[in-house]
Amino acid sequence: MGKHNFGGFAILCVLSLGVASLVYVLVKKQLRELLDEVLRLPAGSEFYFRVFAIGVFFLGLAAALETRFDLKPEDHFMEYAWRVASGLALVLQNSVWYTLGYLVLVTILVVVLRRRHE
Amino acid sequence: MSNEQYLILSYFVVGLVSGLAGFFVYLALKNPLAQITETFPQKQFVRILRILFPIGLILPALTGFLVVRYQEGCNEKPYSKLIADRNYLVYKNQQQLSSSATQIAVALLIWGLIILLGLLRSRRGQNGDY
Repeated sequence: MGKHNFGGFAILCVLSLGVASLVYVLVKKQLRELLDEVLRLPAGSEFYFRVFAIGVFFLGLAAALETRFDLKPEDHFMEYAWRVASGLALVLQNSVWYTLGYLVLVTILVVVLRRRHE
Repeated sequence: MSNEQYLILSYFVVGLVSGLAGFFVYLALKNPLAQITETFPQKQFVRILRILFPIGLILPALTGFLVVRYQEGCNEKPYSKLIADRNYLVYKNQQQLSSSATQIAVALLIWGLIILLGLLRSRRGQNGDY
């Protein structure tokens, strides 16, 4: 991987970590409160919280790694931008799918365990 | 470093990194899982969970690494052509790591579901309605 391709790849990695961090920061507080309330078991909240954090970061990085940077030094700036954009699309797609999958899991958790508490 | 040396070295290093990623995720979740399973009434089930949990994270990580093929499609490239392109070899390493991370994330969701079922069962046991 040449210097120019490595630059594009590094930018994509930073962006993917940024997206994962944004998703994590946005839901962090509310998710923790919800898990504490539903599970009433600190270790349980910790477990499900870590599952979310690890999954979001891993899938963000997976999408960045899946993008191939094989552009030539003489290629135009926008070709690099498009390549980064296609990688970023995959990062967003993975983040959405993981968040939705996790949401389904938490919904089952809430429905089933809340009914037990009532 | 020649391309062939790079291929040999990177293949085993990436394989190791994939396995270690699964192992570190296991370490990150080991303590909370142990505390959760303490509340489970069936001790046999707890023992099985504790044995299968690391396996259920490290194996998907390694599977993700192993499923990436260097020679793919109907017209497989000969070995010499395959290793001629360093970019291709680097991309294959990226794919291995990506696939490994994806498999770990999917495994985590499945483990989340399994633990949920265990929690439900233990709460049922506490309420006395078997």
